[in-house]
Amino acid sequence: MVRKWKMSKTLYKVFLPPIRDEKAGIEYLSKISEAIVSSPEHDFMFDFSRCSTLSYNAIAVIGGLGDFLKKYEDSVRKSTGFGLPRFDSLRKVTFNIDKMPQSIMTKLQSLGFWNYVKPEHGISVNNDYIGYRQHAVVIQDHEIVNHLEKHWLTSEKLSLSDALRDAIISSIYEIFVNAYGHGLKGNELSQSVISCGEFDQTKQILCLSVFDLGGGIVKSVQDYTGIKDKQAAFEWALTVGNSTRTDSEPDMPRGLGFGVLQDFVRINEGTLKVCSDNFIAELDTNGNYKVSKIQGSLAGTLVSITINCRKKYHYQFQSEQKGNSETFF
Amino acid sequence: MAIEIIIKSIVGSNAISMNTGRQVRERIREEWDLHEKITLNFEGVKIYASPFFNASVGSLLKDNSIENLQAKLEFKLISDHGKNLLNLVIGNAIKFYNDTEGKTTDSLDKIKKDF
Repeated sequence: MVRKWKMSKTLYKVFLPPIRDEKAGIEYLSKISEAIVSSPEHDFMFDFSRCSTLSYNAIAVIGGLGDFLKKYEDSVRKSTGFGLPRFDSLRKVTFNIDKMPQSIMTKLQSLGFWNYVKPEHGISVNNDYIGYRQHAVVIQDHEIVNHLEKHWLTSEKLSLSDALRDAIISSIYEIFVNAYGHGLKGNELSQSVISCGEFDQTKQILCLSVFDLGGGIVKSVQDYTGIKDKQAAFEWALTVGNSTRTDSEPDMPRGLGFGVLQDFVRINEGTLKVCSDNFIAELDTNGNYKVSKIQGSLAGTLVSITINCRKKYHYQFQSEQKGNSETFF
Repeated sequence: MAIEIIIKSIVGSNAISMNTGRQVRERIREEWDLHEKITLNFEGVKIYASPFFNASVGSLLKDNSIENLQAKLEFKLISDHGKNLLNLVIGNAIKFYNDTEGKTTDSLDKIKKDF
Protein backbone atom coordinates (compact mmCIF):
# COMPACT_ATOMS: atom_id res chain seq x y z
CA MET A 1 0.00 0.00 0.00
CA VAL A 2 2.62 2.55 1.05
CA ARG A 3 5.82 1.74 -0.80
CA LYS A 4 9.20 3.12 0.15
CA TRP A 5 10.51 5.09 -2.81
CA LYS A 6 14.02 5.92 -1.71
CA MET A 7 16.09 6.34 1.41
CA SER A 8 17.28 9.45 3.34
CA LYS A 9 14.50 12.06 3.20
CA THR A 10 12.08 9.35 2.35
CA LEU A 11 9.44 9.68 -0.33
CA TYR A 12 6.64 7.20 0.10
CA LYS A 13 4.41 6.30 -2.81
CA VAL A 14 0.83 5.63 -1.76
CA PHE A 15 -0.79 3.43 -4.41
CA LEU A 16 -4.50 4.05 -4.09
CA PRO A 17 -6.71 1.05 -4.87
CA PRO A 18 -10.39 1.41 -5.82
CA ILE A 19 -12.01 2.89 -2.69
CA ARG A 20 -15.76 2.51 -2.33
CA ASP A 21 -18.22 3.77 0.27
CA GLU A 22 -18.04 0.60 2.35
CA LYS A 23 -16.27 -0.69 5.43
CA ALA A 24 -13.27 -2.05 3.50
CA GLY A 25 -12.79 1.36 1.92
CA ILE A 26 -12.85 3.08 5.28
CA GLU A 27 -10.40 0.51 6.67
CA TYR A 28 -7.98 1.31 3.87
CA LEU A 29 -8.31 5.05 4.56
CA SER A 30 -7.77 4.37 8.22
CA LYS A 31 -4.54 2.49 7.48
CA ILE A 32 -3.04 5.21 5.27
CA SER A 33 -4.12 7.83 7.77
CA GLU A 34 -2.28 5.99 10.53
CA ALA A 35 0.83 5.54 8.37
CA ILE A 36 1.00 9.19 7.30
CA VAL A 37 0.07 10.89 10.58
CA SER A 38 2.60 8.80 12.49
CA SER A 39 5.43 9.78 10.08
CA PRO A 40 4.74 13.33 8.88
CA GLU A 41 8.45 14.09 8.51
CA HIS A 42 8.51 12.08 5.27
CA ASP A 43 7.22 13.02 1.82
CA PHE A 44 4.22 11.32 0.24
CA MET A 45 3.06 10.84 -3.31
CA PHE A 46 -0.51 9.68 -3.95
CA ASP A 47 -0.55 7.50 -7.04
CA PHE A 48 -3.91 7.03 -8.77
CA SER A 49 -2.80 4.62 -11.50
CA ARG A 50 -4.53 1.63 -9.88
CA CYS A 51 -7.58 3.52 -8.70
CA SER A 52 -10.72 2.94 -10.75
CA THR A 53 -13.21 4.37 -8.27
CA LEU A 54 -12.95 6.87 -5.44
CA SER A 55 -15.70 7.52 -2.91
CA TYR A 56 -16.50 10.93 -1.44
CA ASN A 57 -15.12 9.60 1.87
CA ALA A 58 -11.81 8.80 0.21
CA ILE A 59 -11.59 12.21 -1.42
CA ALA A 60 -12.21 13.94 1.93
CA VAL A 61 -9.60 11.84 3.74
CA ILE A 62 -6.94 12.14 1.01
CA GLY A 63 -7.51 15.91 0.89
CA GLY A 64 -7.35 16.08 4.68
CA LEU A 65 -4.09 14.15 4.79
CA GLY A 66 -2.62 16.44 2.13
CA ASP A 67 -3.68 19.48 4.18
CA PHE A 68 -2.16 17.92 7.29
CA LEU A 69 1.18 17.33 5.56
CA LYS A 70 1.32 20.87 4.18
CA LYS A 71 0.50 22.39 7.56
CA TYR A 72 3.06 20.15 9.23
CA GLU A 73 5.66 21.30 6.73
CA ASP A 74 4.73 24.95 7.37
CA SER A 75 5.13 24.48 11.11
CA VAL A 76 8.55 22.85 10.69
CA ARG A 77 9.63 25.60 8.33
CA LYS A 78 8.57 28.28 10.80
CA SER A 79 10.42 26.65 13.65
CA THR A 80 13.62 25.83 11.77
CA GLY A 81 14.00 27.98 8.68
CA PHE A 82 12.84 31.48 9.60
CA GLY A 83 9.78 31.05 7.40
CA LEU A 84 11.73 30.49 4.20
CA PRO A 85 10.57 27.60 2.00
CA ARG A 86 12.86 24.62 2.00
CA PHE A 87 14.19 23.64 -1.40
CA ASP A 88 12.23 20.38 -1.30
CA SER A 89 9.00 21.61 0.35
CA LEU A 90 7.03 21.25 -2.89
CA ARG A 91 7.66 17.52 -2.70
CA LYS A 92 5.96 17.16 0.67
CA VAL A 93 2.71 15.93 -0.82
CA THR A 94 2.35 15.23 -4.51
CA PHE A 95 -0.14 13.48 -6.79
CA ASN A 96 0.94 11.21 -9.60
CA ILE A 97 -1.72 11.58 -12.27
CA ASP A 98 0.21 10.10 -15.20
CA LYS A 99 -1.80 6.91 -15.42
CA MET A 100 -4.87 8.14 -13.60
CA PRO A 101 -8.10 6.87 -15.23
CA GLN A 102 -9.86 9.71 -17.02
CA SER A 103 -13.05 9.08 -15.05
CA ILE A 104 -11.21 9.77 -11.78
CA MET A 105 -9.56 12.88 -13.18
CA THR A 106 -12.92 14.21 -14.37
CA LYS A 107 -14.51 13.46 -11.02
CA LEU A 108 -11.78 15.22 -9.04
CA GLN A 109 -12.00 18.24 -11.34
CA SER A 110 -15.78 18.49 -11.20
CA LEU A 111 -15.82 18.05 -7.41
CA GLY A 112 -13.36 20.92 -7.07
CA PHE A 113 -10.70 18.78 -5.40
CA TRP A 114 -7.83 20.33 -7.34
CA ASN A 115 -9.06 23.86 -6.54
CA TYR A 116 -7.68 23.40 -3.05
CA VAL A 117 -5.12 20.67 -3.48
CA LYS A 118 -3.33 21.20 -6.79
CA PRO A 119 -4.87 23.92 -9.00
CA GLU A 120 -2.54 23.13 -11.89
CA HIS A 121 -4.41 19.84 -12.38
CA GLY A 122 -7.57 21.70 -13.39
CA ILE A 123 -9.96 23.76 -11.32
CA SER A 124 -13.71 23.92 -11.25
CA VAL A 125 -14.61 27.46 -12.23
CA ASN A 126 -18.21 27.30 -11.03
CA ASN A 127 -18.34 28.10 -7.33
CA ASP A 128 -21.76 26.49 -6.93
CA TYR A 129 -20.56 22.92 -7.27
CA ILE A 130 -21.44 20.20 -4.79
CA GLY A 131 -18.04 18.78 -4.02
CA TYR A 132 -14.82 19.15 -2.10
CA ARG A 133 -14.05 22.04 0.23
CA GLN A 134 -11.57 23.01 2.91
CA HIS A 135 -13.14 25.18 5.56
CA ALA A 136 -11.76 27.88 7.82
CA VAL A 137 -10.00 26.96 11.03
CA VAL A 138 -12.72 28.68 13.07
CA ILE A 139 -16.35 27.83 12.38
CA GLN A 140 -18.19 30.45 10.35
CA ASP A 141 -21.78 29.57 11.23
CA HIS A 142 -23.69 31.66 8.77
CA GLU A 143 -21.16 31.13 6.02
CA ILE A 144 -21.65 27.36 6.17
CA VAL A 145 -25.44 27.61 6.22
CA ASN A 146 -25.61 30.24 3.50
CA HIS A 147 -23.31 28.21 1.34
CA LEU A 148 -25.42 25.08 1.77
CA GLU A 149 -28.63 26.97 1.16
CA LYS A 150 -27.65 29.27 -1.68
CA HIS A 151 -25.10 27.19 -3.56
CA TRP A 152 -25.39 23.54 -2.61
CA LEU A 153 -29.02 22.69 -2.18
CA THR A 154 -30.59 24.98 -4.74
CA SER A 155 -33.81 23.97 -6.46
CA GLU A 156 -31.95 23.85 -9.80
CA LYS A 157 -29.74 21.05 -8.51
CA LEU A 158 -32.08 19.19 -6.20
CA SER A 159 -35.79 18.82 -5.94
CA LEU A 160 -36.49 19.05 -2.24
CA SER A 161 -39.39 20.23 -0.15
CA ASP A 162 -38.52 23.31 1.92
CA ALA A 163 -38.92 21.32 5.13
CA LEU A 164 -36.52 18.59 4.02
CA ARG A 165 -33.98 21.09 2.67
CA ASP A 166 -33.99 23.06 5.92
CA ALA A 167 -33.64 19.84 7.94
CA ILE A 168 -30.73 18.69 5.75
CA ILE A 169 -28.94 22.02 6.26
CA SER A 170 -29.57 21.83 9.97
CA SER A 171 -28.22 18.25 10.16
CA ILE A 172 -25.13 19.06 8.12
CA TYR A 173 -24.48 22.07 10.33
CA GLU A 174 -24.57 19.73 13.36
CA ILE A 175 -21.82 17.65 11.71
CA PHE A 176 -19.67 20.74 11.32
CA VAL A 177 -20.27 21.79 14.92
CA ASN A 178 -19.06 18.36 15.96
CA ALA A 179 -15.94 18.60 13.78
CA TYR A 180 -15.04 22.04 15.11
CA GLY A 181 -15.88 21.03 18.67
CA HIS A 182 -13.88 18.05 19.84
CA GLY A 183 -12.37 17.56 16.40
CA LEU A 184 -10.17 20.60 16.20
CA LYS A 185 -9.79 21.22 19.90
CA GLY A 186 -6.15 22.20 20.40
CA ASN A 187 -5.65 22.43 16.64
CA GLU A 188 -1.91 23.07 16.80
CA LEU A 189 -1.31 22.91 13.06
CA SER A 190 -4.32 25.13 12.17
CA GLN A 191 -5.77 22.39 10.00
CA SER A 192 -8.94 22.88 8.01
CA VAL A 193 -12.14 20.92 8.35
CA ILE A 194 -12.63 19.07 5.07
CA SER A 195 -15.93 18.27 3.42
CA CYS A 196 -16.73 16.36 0.27
CA GLY A 197 -20.23 16.12 -1.12
CA GLU A 198 -21.61 14.33 -4.13
CA PHE A 199 -25.06 14.06 -5.63
CA ASP A 200 -26.08 10.86 -7.42
CA GLN A 201 -28.61 12.04 -10.01
CA THR A 202 -29.80 8.54 -10.88
CA LYS A 203 -30.47 7.39 -7.34
CA GLN A 204 -31.30 10.90 -6.09
CA ILE A 205 -28.98 10.42 -3.14
CA LEU A 206 -26.92 13.20 -1.59
CA CYS A 207 -23.68 12.05 0.04
CA LEU A 208 -21.47 14.08 2.33
CA SER A 209 -18.33 13.45 4.33
CA VAL A 210 -16.89 15.79 6.91
CA PHE A 211 -13.37 15.00 8.05
CA ASP A 212 -11.11 16.59 10.61
CA LEU A 213 -7.66 15.56 11.71
CA GLY A 214 -8.02 16.74 15.27
CA GLY A 215 -7.42 14.50 18.24
CA GLY A 216 -10.35 12.22 17.44
CA ILE A 217 -13.37 11.17 19.46
CA VAL A 218 -11.69 8.53 21.62
CA LYS A 219 -8.88 10.72 22.92
CA SER A 220 -11.19 13.67 23.43
CA VAL A 221 -13.62 11.58 25.50
CA GLN A 222 -10.86 9.85 27.44
CA ASP A 223 -9.31 13.22 28.34
CA TYR A 224 -12.68 14.57 29.47
CA THR A 225 -14.21 11.56 31.23
CA GLY A 226 -11.26 9.40 32.22
CA ILE A 227 -12.89 6.37 30.56
CA LYS A 228 -10.00 3.98 29.90
CA ASP A 229 -11.61 1.52 27.51
CA LYS A 230 -11.35 2.94 24.00
CA GLN A 231 -14.54 1.40 22.65
CA ALA A 232 -16.49 2.57 25.71
CA ALA A 233 -15.13 6.08 25.14
CA PHE A 234 -16.19 6.00 21.49
CA GLU A 235 -19.68 4.76 22.39
CA TRP A 236 -19.98 7.41 25.12
CA ALA A 237 -19.64 10.15 22.49
CA LEU A 238 -22.52 8.69 20.48
CA THR A 239 -24.93 8.75 23.40
CA VAL A 240 -27.45 11.58 23.35
CA GLY A 241 -26.60 14.19 25.96
CA ASN A 242 -22.91 13.37 26.26
CA SER A 243 -20.50 16.10 25.28
CA THR A 244 -16.89 16.97 25.99
CA ARG A 245 -17.94 20.61 26.51
CA THR A 246 -15.30 22.40 24.55
CA ASP A 247 -16.32 25.99 25.23
CA SER A 248 -16.46 28.32 28.18
CA GLU A 249 -19.93 27.57 29.55
CA PRO A 250 -19.57 24.26 31.39
CA ASP A 251 -23.06 24.16 32.92
CA MET A 252 -24.98 24.28 29.65
CA PRO A 253 -26.59 21.13 28.27
CA ARG A 254 -25.16 19.92 24.95
CA GLY A 255 -24.35 16.72 23.14
CA LEU A 256 -27.21 16.47 20.70
CA GLY A 257 -25.34 16.57 17.42
CA PHE A 258 -25.18 12.81 16.84
CA GLY A 259 -28.68 12.40 18.31
CA VAL A 260 -30.14 14.90 15.85
CA LEU A 261 -28.39 13.16 12.98
CA GLN A 262 -29.55 9.77 14.19
CA ASP A 263 -33.14 10.92 14.22
CA PHE A 264 -32.96 12.57 10.83
CA VAL A 265 -31.22 9.65 9.09
CA ARG A 266 -33.66 7.14 10.60
CA ILE A 267 -36.66 9.04 9.23
CA ASN A 268 -34.98 9.58 5.87
CA GLU A 269 -33.81 5.94 5.64
CA GLY A 270 -30.36 7.24 4.81
CA THR A 271 -27.04 6.03 6.16
CA LEU A 272 -24.71 7.46 8.76
CA LYS A 273 -21.18 6.40 9.61
CA VAL A 274 -18.94 7.87 12.29
CA CYS A 275 -15.36 6.71 12.23
CA SER A 276 -12.52 7.58 14.57
CA ASP A 277 -9.46 5.77 15.91
CA ASN A 278 -10.09 2.08 15.13
CA PHE A 279 -13.87 2.17 15.50
CA ILE A 280 -16.74 2.70 13.15
CA ALA A 281 -20.37 3.33 14.14
CA GLU A 282 -23.12 2.72 11.63
CA LEU A 283 -26.84 3.19 12.08
CA ASP A 284 -28.88 0.01 11.80
CA THR A 285 -32.37 -0.07 10.33
CA ASN A 286 -33.90 0.76 13.72
CA GLY A 287 -31.80 3.90 13.95
CA ASN A 288 -29.41 2.56 16.61
CA TYR A 289 -25.65 2.85 16.39
CA LYS A 290 -23.80 -0.39 15.83
CA VAL A 291 -20.12 -0.07 16.73
CA SER A 292 -17.41 -2.31 15.35
CA LYS A 293 -13.64 -2.33 15.20
CA ILE A 294 -11.75 -1.59 12.02
CA GLN A 295 -8.19 -2.21 10.96
CA GLY A 296 -5.80 0.71 11.15
CA SER A 297 -6.44 3.82 13.18
CA LEU A 298 -8.09 6.85 11.63
CA ALA A 299 -6.55 9.99 13.04
CA GLY A 300 -9.31 12.52 13.63
CA THR A 301 -12.96 11.90 12.86
CA LEU A 302 -14.85 11.10 9.68
CA VAL A 303 -18.61 11.57 9.61
CA SER A 304 -20.31 10.32 6.49
CA ILE A 305 -23.98 10.67 5.65
CA THR A 306 -26.21 9.75 2.72
CA ILE A 307 -29.60 11.39 2.33
CA ASN A 308 -32.49 10.19 0.18
CA CYS A 309 -33.93 13.03 -1.88
CA ARG A 310 -36.71 11.28 -3.80
CA LYS A 311 -40.18 12.77 -3.44
CA LYS A 312 -41.35 9.85 -1.31
CA TYR A 313 -38.91 10.98 1.39
CA HIS A 314 -40.16 14.59 1.36
CA TYR A 315 -43.59 13.43 2.52
CA GLN A 316 -42.21 10.79 4.84
CA PHE A 317 -40.07 13.41 6.52
CA GLN A 318 -42.95 15.84 6.96
CA SER A 319 -45.26 13.28 8.51
CA GLU A 320 -42.75 11.44 10.69
CA GLN A 321 -40.84 14.31 12.21
CA LYS A 322 -43.87 15.23 14.26
CA GLY A 323 -44.36 13.39 17.50
CA ASN A 324 -41.15 11.37 17.60
CA SER A 325 -39.56 13.05 20.57
CA GLU A 326 -41.08 14.01 23.89
CA THR A 327 -43.13 17.14 23.47
CA PHE A 328 -42.99 19.98 25.96
CA PHE A 329 -44.12 22.75 23.61
CA MET B 1 -48.81 41.50 30.48
CA ALA B 2 -47.20 39.75 27.55
CA ILE B 3 -44.30 40.57 25.30
CA GLU B 4 -43.18 39.23 21.96
CA ILE B 5 -39.51 38.82 21.09
CA ILE B 6 -38.82 38.77 17.37
CA ILE B 7 -36.10 36.17 17.01
CA LYS B 8 -35.19 37.14 13.46
CA SER B 9 -34.21 40.61 14.62
CA ILE B 10 -31.59 39.03 16.89
CA VAL B 11 -30.32 36.05 14.90
CA GLY B 12 -31.32 36.68 11.27
CA SER B 13 -32.77 33.71 9.41
CA ASN B 14 -30.53 31.08 11.05
CA ALA B 15 -31.16 30.09 14.65
CA ILE B 16 -28.14 27.84 14.85
CA SER B 17 -25.21 29.01 16.91
CA MET B 18 -24.54 29.04 20.60
CA ASN B 19 -23.57 32.70 20.47
CA THR B 20 -26.89 33.89 19.06
CA GLY B 21 -28.65 31.50 21.44
CA ARG B 22 -26.95 33.27 24.34
CA GLN B 23 -28.18 36.62 23.04
CA VAL B 24 -31.75 35.36 22.95
CA ARG B 25 -31.40 33.91 26.45
CA GLU B 26 -30.22 37.28 27.78
CA ARG B 27 -33.20 38.96 26.15
CA ILE B 28 -35.56 36.42 27.74
CA ARG B 29 -33.95 36.98 31.14
CA GLU B 30 -34.38 40.74 30.82
CA GLU B 31 -38.12 40.27 30.28
CA TRP B 32 -38.66 37.33 32.63
CA ASP B 33 -39.84 39.18 35.75
CA LEU B 34 -41.55 41.96 33.86
CA HIS B 35 -44.05 39.89 31.92
CA GLU B 36 -46.43 37.06 32.58
CA LYS B 37 -45.95 35.61 29.14
CA ILE B 38 -43.03 35.83 26.71
CA THR B 39 -43.70 34.87 23.11
CA LEU B 40 -40.73 33.92 20.96
CA ASN B 41 -41.74 34.72 17.43
CA PHE B 42 -39.74 32.76 14.85
CA GLU B 43 -41.28 34.29 11.75
CA GLY B 44 -38.65 34.44 9.01
CA VAL B 45 -36.31 31.98 10.74
CA LYS B 46 -35.59 29.03 8.46
CA ILE B 47 -32.72 26.99 9.81
CA TYR B 48 -32.49 25.65 13.34
CA ALA B 49 -29.76 23.76 15.15
CA SER B 50 -29.34 22.35 18.64
CA PRO B 51 -26.54 24.68 19.86
CA PHE B 52 -28.94 27.62 19.50
CA PHE B 53 -31.69 25.95 21.54
CA ASN B 54 -29.23 24.64 24.14
CA ALA B 55 -28.01 28.18 24.80
CA SER B 56 -31.32 30.05 24.49
CA VAL B 57 -33.90 27.73 26.08
CA GLY B 58 -32.18 24.60 27.44
CA SER B 59 -29.96 26.60 29.77
CA LEU B 60 -32.99 28.36 31.30
CA LEU B 61 -33.81 25.04 32.96
CA LYS B 62 -30.81 25.53 35.22
CA ASP B 63 -32.80 27.99 37.31
CA ASN B 64 -36.36 27.14 36.32
CA SER B 65 -38.55 24.09 36.33
CA ILE B 66 -40.05 22.87 33.08
CA GLU B 67 -43.49 23.90 34.38
CA ASN B 68 -42.27 27.49 34.84
CA LEU B 69 -40.93 27.43 31.32
CA GLN B 70 -44.16 26.08 29.93
CA ALA B 71 -46.14 28.72 31.76
CA LYS B 72 -43.89 31.58 30.72
CA LEU B 73 -42.79 30.85 27.16
CA GLU B 74 -44.72 30.53 23.96
CA PHE B 75 -43.23 29.59 20.59
CA LYS B 76 -44.86 31.17 17.60
CA LEU B 77 -44.35 30.38 13.90
CA ILE B 78 -41.60 27.88 14.56
CA SER B 79 -41.17 25.19 11.88
CA ASP B 80 -41.91 21.53 12.59
CA HIS B 81 -38.21 20.77 12.42
CA GLY B 82 -37.45 23.64 14.79
CA LYS B 83 -40.06 22.45 17.24
CA ASN B 84 -38.75 18.91 17.05
CA LEU B 85 -35.25 20.12 17.91
CA LEU B 86 -36.57 22.36 20.67
CA ASN B 87 -38.30 19.41 22.34
CA LEU B 88 -35.20 17.24 21.95
CA VAL B 89 -33.09 19.96 23.57
CA ILE B 90 -35.52 20.42 26.46
CA GLY B 91 -35.69 16.68 27.17
CA ASN B 92 -31.90 16.56 27.20
CA ALA B 93 -31.62 19.68 29.39
CA ILE B 94 -34.02 18.24 31.97
CA LYS B 95 -31.89 15.10 32.21
CA PHE B 96 -28.69 17.16 32.30
CA TYR B 97 -29.75 19.38 35.20
CA ASN B 98 -31.37 16.45 36.96
CA ASP B 99 -28.09 14.59 36.86
CA THR B 100 -25.93 17.50 37.85
CA GLU B 101 -28.04 19.54 40.23
CA GLY B 102 -31.19 17.66 41.09
CA LYS B 103 -33.35 20.73 40.66
CA THR B 104 -35.88 19.26 38.29
CA THR B 105 -37.38 16.34 40.07
CA ASP B 106 -40.51 15.61 38.11
CA SER B 107 -40.36 12.68 35.79
CA LEU B 108 -40.39 13.39 32.08
CA ASP B 109 -43.63 11.47 31.66
CA LYS B 110 -45.43 13.61 34.19
CA ILE B 111 -44.66 16.90 32.53
CA LYS B 112 -44.95 15.90 28.90
CA LYS B 113 -47.84 17.44 27.14
CA ASP B 114 -49.16 17.59 23.67
CA PHE B 115 -48.74 20.85 21.92
